Amino acid sequence: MKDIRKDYTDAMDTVQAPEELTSRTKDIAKYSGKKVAYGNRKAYKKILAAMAAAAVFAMAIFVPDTSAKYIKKIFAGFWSGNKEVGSYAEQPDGNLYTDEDKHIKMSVEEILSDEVCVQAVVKFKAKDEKGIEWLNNYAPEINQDAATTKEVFMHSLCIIPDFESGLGVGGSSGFMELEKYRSDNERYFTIQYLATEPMDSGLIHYSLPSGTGYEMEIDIKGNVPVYNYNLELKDGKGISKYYEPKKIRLSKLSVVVYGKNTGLFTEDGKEFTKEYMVETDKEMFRSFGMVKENGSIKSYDFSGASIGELGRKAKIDNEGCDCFVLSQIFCRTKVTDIGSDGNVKGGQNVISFSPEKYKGIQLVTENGSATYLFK
Amino acid sequence: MDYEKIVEENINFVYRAAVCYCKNTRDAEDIVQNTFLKLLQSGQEFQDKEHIRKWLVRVAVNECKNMWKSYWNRNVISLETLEYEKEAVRTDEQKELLQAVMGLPPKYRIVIHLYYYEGYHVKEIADMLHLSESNVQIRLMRARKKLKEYLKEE
Repeated sequence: MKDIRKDYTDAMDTVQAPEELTSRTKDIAKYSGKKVAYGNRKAYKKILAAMAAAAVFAMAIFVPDTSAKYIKKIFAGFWSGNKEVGSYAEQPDGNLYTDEDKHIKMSVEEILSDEVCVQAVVKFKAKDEKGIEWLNNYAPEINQDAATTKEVFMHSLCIIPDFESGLGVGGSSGFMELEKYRSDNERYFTIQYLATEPMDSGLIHYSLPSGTGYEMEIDIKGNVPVYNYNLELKDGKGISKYYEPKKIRLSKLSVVVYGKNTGLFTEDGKEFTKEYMVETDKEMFRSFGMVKENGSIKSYDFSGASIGELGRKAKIDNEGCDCFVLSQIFCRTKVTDIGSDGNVKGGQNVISFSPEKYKGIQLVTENGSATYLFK
Repeated sequence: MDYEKIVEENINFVYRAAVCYCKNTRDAEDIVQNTFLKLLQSGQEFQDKEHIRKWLVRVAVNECKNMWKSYWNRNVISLETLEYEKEAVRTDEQKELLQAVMGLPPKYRIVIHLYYYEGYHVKEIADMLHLSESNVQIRLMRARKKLKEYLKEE
């Protein structure tokens, strides 16, 4: 056995925090806890995504065929409420959109959308030995350190809103391989985005052996029922003095709450207020619950960053609202759990959510909770 | 205590632990900033420098875990593409070992890092990570075993 301590110490000695990071971290104190000013990851992604709208990549050939009936069939596991979505492998020839070169055929097999949350399954199939070799080495990634927009998506497999038709939309985008269905000549990926505003057009970025940075426009019109309600505080104090939840948009896929700024932003709407930034941590959502018809509450206690989305500003096309309060994906939020061995698993789990069963929402922060009924 | 001095004295410590856990410099930078932000907001009274260090690493590890749980952050950049990997001058043995350590599950990596690099004792690591001493020992033992197997294969 080698000398672990010495070799590891020597190797890790070379890992140093960048000067710029040190400087930024020191600056935090000057802003009395202005969290957003310090390279907020999501804000950064949002900027990159917005920049992407202007990027022009090679257009792919596509064949649209998004019948709701077909999609419903493909997502049978989802619709029947099964925990496991097992239809991917049984339905390999969805071909909603396709592109190919000599060695690989790429196809969008399935799309599920409520226009705020969009999920799609993408399949890559090798056509020859060279394709198999490419597929085995294929490693899509969003290069978050890239200097230019093109580089960000160059080696990526992702879906983002078509920003040209909806400026001001913010969101997150991610992908994950469905390892379970991987074979020598086929690989499946699920790609997903969550935006703050409904969109009906999206862009997929992908690569083929013939090149990277391909872009394909896809129809992401909703194919699940969506419920919109006004919110009314049940009793007591509101959830925050910085905003007032006003409206909610629900589907089996996601929940988005919009609100009215009462101190979250400065008057010109460009900056978070200092007071809010100082108290941000306590204002973050810890969980939320859905109020059933009988008054009991079903809690959705998602740990992780997505629950703490309070305060991200968006251009809200929603009467009486000027801020985005909460956004949460229900379907497959826990697509990949951390296993007991600490490793990330590749399974697909649906979080069953039936919006039609609920009559209100309970929001929970460190400061307390408040219940809002649907009107 | 002077905040800037705390940053200077501890930023590499927190950054290395975060890199070790996330295998990703971009995430590690976010972890560092969130950790020091929490330090400012905590209102916690610290007894000494070591108390701060232990608090920082505990918060950093929790931040890392939360990041792992988030859907959007699972697609980590592979080890080969890490900036520090590209820039660093290392011997083959060091590269091999680092590769092996980074191939361990996160819960083993962080224990190995704190034990071998930071030189903490089992009891101290147990305090930092809110684990029992025997649990830390078991993780160390399993991590060593996995490393041994990996390095033998190589």
